[in-house]
Amino acid sequence: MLWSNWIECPMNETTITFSVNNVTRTVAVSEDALLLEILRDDLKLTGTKEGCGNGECGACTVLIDGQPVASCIYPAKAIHGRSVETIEGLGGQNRLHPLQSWFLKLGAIQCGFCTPGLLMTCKSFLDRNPNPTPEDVKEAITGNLCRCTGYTKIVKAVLSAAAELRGETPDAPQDPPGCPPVGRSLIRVDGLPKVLGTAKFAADISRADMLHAAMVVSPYPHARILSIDPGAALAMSGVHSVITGHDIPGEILYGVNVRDQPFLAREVVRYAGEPVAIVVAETRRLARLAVKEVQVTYQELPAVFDPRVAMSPDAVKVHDNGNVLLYRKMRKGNIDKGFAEADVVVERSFTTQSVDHAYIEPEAALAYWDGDMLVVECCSQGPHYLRHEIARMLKSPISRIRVIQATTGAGFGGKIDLLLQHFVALGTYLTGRPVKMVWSREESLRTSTKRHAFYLQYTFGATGDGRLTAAKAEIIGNTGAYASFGPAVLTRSATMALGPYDCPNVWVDSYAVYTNTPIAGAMRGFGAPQMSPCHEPLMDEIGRKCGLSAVEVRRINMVRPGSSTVTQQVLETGVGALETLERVSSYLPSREMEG
Amino acid sequence: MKKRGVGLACIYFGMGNTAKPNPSSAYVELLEDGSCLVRCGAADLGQGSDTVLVQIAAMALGLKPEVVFIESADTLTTPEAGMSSASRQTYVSGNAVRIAAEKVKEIILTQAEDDLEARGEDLVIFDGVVYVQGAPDSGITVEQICRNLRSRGILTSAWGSFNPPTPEMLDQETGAGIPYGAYSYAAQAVEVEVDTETGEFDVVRVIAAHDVGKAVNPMGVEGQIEGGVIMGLGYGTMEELVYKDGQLSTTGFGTYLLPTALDAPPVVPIIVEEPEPTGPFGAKGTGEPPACPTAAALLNAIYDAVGVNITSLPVTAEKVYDGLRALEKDRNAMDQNGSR
Repeated sequence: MLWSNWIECPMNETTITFSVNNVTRTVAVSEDALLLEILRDDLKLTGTKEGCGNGECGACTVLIDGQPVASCIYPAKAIHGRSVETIEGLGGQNRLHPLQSWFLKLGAIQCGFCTPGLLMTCKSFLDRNPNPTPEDVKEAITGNLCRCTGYTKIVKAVLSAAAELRGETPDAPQDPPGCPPVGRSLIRVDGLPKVLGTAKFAADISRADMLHAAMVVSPYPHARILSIDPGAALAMSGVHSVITGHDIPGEILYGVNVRDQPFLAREVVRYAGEPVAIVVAETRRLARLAVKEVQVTYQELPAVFDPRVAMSPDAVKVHDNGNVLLYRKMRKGNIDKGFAEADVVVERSFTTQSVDHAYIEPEAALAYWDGDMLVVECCSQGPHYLRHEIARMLKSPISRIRVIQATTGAGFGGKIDLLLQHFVALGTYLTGRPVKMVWSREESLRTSTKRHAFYLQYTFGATGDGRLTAAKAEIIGNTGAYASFGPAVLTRSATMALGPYDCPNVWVDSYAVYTNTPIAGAMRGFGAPQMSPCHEPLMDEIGRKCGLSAVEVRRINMVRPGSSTVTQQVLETGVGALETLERVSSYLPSREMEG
Repeated sequence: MKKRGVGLACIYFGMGNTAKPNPSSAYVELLEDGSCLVRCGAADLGQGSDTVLVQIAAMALGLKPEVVFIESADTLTTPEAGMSSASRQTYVSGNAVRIAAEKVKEIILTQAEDDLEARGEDLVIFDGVVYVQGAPDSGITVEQICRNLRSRGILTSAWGSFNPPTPEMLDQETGAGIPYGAYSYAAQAVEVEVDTETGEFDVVRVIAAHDVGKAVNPMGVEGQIEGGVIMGLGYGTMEELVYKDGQLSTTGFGTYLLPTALDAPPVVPIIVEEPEPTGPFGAKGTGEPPACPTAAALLNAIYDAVGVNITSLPVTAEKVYDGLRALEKDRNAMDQNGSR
């Protein structure tokens, strides 16, 4: 939720009566309660999701008197006397709505977090427009963000559902006759609960006697923590505890590549948004309210934001041992000889921006004791790694920590690191009670890891007939405040620096550099999407200078069996590079691609 | 005026962690009712690893996928499989599941040799029935064989593990080494239409060909391609975390823009299958590659359409407009020089 939704104090309660999925319900709601809270917290209808708290992503869509609304910003008291439809009312296991069955059959679901909201939007849309065009569908669902599917299969599924509702029999995809299990377009095995809204994401799970946690984060990109005074927060009725880094019983640093990141900052904060304390309280609202009351005194420190500046010896040091976290070299052949042999030399400077994974499910985790086992249920891309880190933090045998991946609303690399799982583990360890934490969209954008922003400098040399003779690249990646996967990302960038081309002489310098910006870590492509904007325009440019089409210049240089990569690995089998090129070019008008 | 252009971009992508061991493991258990339980630590976050691993186990054991079930990503009940990253779960965990399932298959076939009085190499398992090649009607069900085995005190379960063949670390001075056991390949083309007055552009279509070795689930592979392309276009055209002095200003989806359905052009996914001998049934990973070339193809398409060379991401109408005006200025200067 937005901060503004949480800092308002609960006011007088009123009782409202309304219909949910044709069942009359009466609940007491506070003046500022939102429909989504009533559905999820009071009525336990957790099929409706919270993705942004601001009415911008559509995950919380429900129907009021048949019209789609964003329940995360809809005042609860305004539904008195009205009729609400949620995903739980759309269809059941043995009576799926056509939208649900076509979403399954056509693969319109991946993570499933946006699915309930989308289905409700589409249900209302098809009620109004039974015979839509693909453009009509796209327009109807434009308020429902999906980060996984690219929307193509969603649009197809809605059109097929519309046809079925009209009494037609749309074509379902058919596997080739006699197709063995590998090669079949099997409906995803986790699909059914996702269309029914019964799949349990971490935020959907509750335990008896559960407490809620919220983070106090640094407003400064670089500062020394002088003191943390929890007094005013603890004085609030219902606030259970305020946890700081000094409460951690075991190791204080973690990290997947390099252990440089505090589980919870104790002395210094290195980016704005870095967690410094955890408030544990009886309700989520209260925990967030109390966050404002924790008094943290900082001494601001000079900060560095640009990795090129951070590389200079007299720059502000983000970590004591210097800002260059990784320097990776690739040296193949003789680069000077390669440029001497070149008839054509092309250069390119390029910068790429920092982006977010922006999975629609914000980070969420819940911890509790099961006998002597501390259990964490959470969004995750790798529970065994999390188990290991949590055990280190709690000084516990690894085997006494159990991490269960809840249904996870996509990750794209952003849910690999330890994000908030250790906060709930620590909360449960210290309080003995179940503790849950769910990030807001703003917290996710501020605190989670990012894709590295890159500064790139490239030079390629080629013979007059378009054959690469030399490739030189300097790659500077802004890895942010802590290492995360930074060294691995910049190493992969170096190995992928040229793209799929065979070049005898290569020189690559790749740097991962600390700055006082949010942590850059793993994200889909892992350092490769930043490289192609350099090597691909350069290939085109070589083609233009040599009178070759974009297809021809690539065909000449593309790796084949027997080719050697940047790391001098000889590719032997399974090299489909040329085939992908030929298949794409067959779709293109020959005048444009063949010169 | 509107001008059309097409841009190409190609990439390759190594499977698994770079020059590092990244093993995976799985248990496969065939039960006395003929159903199968796969347990593997691989986390499915929507990319479809649960489904893929079920299909691989079914393939290796000769079962219908409908009788194979999976329990994944719980540290108490599933063995470690590493992270769902580096496009590695189909390739690495797929192999772990395949290896475990093949061990179970060996147990089944050994019993079937007795039951069917045949040699193991003459036996096939398909849809849960073991039979002598060429005589599918005289077969015996896997269920029956499991019961026969149990009556002799033999259980039909096995563990499998796989670590990608990355024998060589990267040399510190030259980077030489074998960082990946296998590579995926991709070529994409982006077609754009650019307004030469305003710099605004529309992506008309994206063609995306991906060599995935073997598509374990073609619909799932298409989903990865379509989703990855749109994520690549978001990266190429609109997404940006904006910071000033370390402070984030794009703190919600109102300012951090993501592609909506209206921003998503038609995507033509093309599956290329060049079998990878080290992959399970020839398969390689395909999670990440689709997001890698799209922004680059867009840059080339813009250049092809209007000759503007964009030097930073994201590509915005403002940047294209500035590029168009700069080109105009250059042209005017050349005209003046020419007329002098």
